Amino acid sequence: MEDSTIIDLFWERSDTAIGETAKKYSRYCHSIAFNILLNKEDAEECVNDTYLNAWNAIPPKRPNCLATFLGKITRNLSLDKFKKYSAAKRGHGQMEIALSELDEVLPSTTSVEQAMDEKELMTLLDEFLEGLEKQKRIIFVQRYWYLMPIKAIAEQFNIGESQVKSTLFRIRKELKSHFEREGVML
Amino acid sequence: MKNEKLLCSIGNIADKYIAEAQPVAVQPQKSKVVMLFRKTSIRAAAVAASLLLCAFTYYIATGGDLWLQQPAKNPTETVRSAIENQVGKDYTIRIEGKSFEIDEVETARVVERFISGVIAERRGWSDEYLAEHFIVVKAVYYAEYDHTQTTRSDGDVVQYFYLTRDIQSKEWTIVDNSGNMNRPNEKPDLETGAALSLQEQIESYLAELFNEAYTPYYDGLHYEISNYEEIILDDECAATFLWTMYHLGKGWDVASDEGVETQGNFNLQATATLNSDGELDVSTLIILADSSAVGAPNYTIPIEDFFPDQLTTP
Repeated sequence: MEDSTIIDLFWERSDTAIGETAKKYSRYCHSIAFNILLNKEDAEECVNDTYLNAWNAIPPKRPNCLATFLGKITRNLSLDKFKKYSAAKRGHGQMEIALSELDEVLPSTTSVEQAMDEKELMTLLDEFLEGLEKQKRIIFVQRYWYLMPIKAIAEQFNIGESQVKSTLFRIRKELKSHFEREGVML
Repeated sequence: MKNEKLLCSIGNIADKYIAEAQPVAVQPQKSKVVMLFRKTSIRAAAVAASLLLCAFTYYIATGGDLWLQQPAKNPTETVRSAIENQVGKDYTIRIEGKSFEIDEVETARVVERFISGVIAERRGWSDEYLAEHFIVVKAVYYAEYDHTQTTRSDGDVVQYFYLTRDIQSKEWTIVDNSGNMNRPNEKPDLETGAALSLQEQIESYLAELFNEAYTPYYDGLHYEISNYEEIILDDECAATFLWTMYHLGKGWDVASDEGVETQGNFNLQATATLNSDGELDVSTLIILADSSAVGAPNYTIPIEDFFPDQLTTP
């Protein structure tokens, strides 16, 4: 079913809206949640909550891209759940590794007075991504948005894991320089 | 934590970058019609498992020898129909089905040995999904053939059939079967350049890989595959086997071993996608070694991790 038809079902408050969404996007959402949580039951719970959130958000919203709309909800719900787990020392999965990788991106300097707000940071990130060549950009987004394992990214591009790691390392260095130039303090 | 804030901010990047990077393995499920015409979507077909696609891929995988099956909600009925319909083939004189039963043990073994891991991960199959959508049926039947037309042997045949269930119709379809017990002799004729079997393609690939890795260290390298088993699911193949590497000892540890043939054994799993000719797409081939000390195999270690690098790394 086309996305626009599914969105129409939400607007009509049709009982089939969630079913059609699940039919088309359950695997996509489940994969995002599972990469973060590494737990099938928790991932499933986040996916179900995603449908509920979508139900509550549409209307009034009419997403331009239903996939990324749902993906963002799933990612946020999964990150929230991960944080709860971390507090209870149960956290694991790609999230933890990705977090440690991102440590090196953050400038160590404290000379910048103003902490960057969310919107400015987002703009900076979009600018940075726009400047990357396509394959590098996809690798970066797959790693830090989809939280995909290095191995899965390597398989997708038919390249070695070491090549993915070195590509990510170089991108993180570039991102760090980009942030430093803009005086970012998180 | 600062890095958490950064990770959260990455979550709000523009939609176009998220859509652009959408992994192939998790792309939203497509309609059946689209699946038939898009190779990437063929991978997703196992999830939807449309009957037509299963028949199509099985046709390719078996070189055109369709089972003439009638998919049914009871998997044993699907297999029964496939066996009974063999009688319609020119070379079949008589077919008599004796028993058709779901084999839970073989189902668990095949899932554990071939599907869990690389294939399940690629397809996003959870254990729960597999439990409901994959099954093995053991069939016992008697067959008589016209030997002017086929080399198949007469007599009782025991054969395992691998089936997937369509997510919508709930019907089961055969996607592969075990062994060559009831198939024409497909042994390749190397002299005439006929197509290599999957086993030979894997063997050739591994021999090249091992030669490259071990030639600096050993003389007299040659290899052997044994205990080979394979399964083909749609356009993917998984095989497990014992890989034995033979070489002449150098006598580095024990002087008397110099020149004596020595062997190293590796329990391996190979997974790869198949191209439209049913041949391995070598660029997708993943070879993993069994990391379990005892009990059920656990294929997790890339074979490259075993290769020595003292003489090849600067």
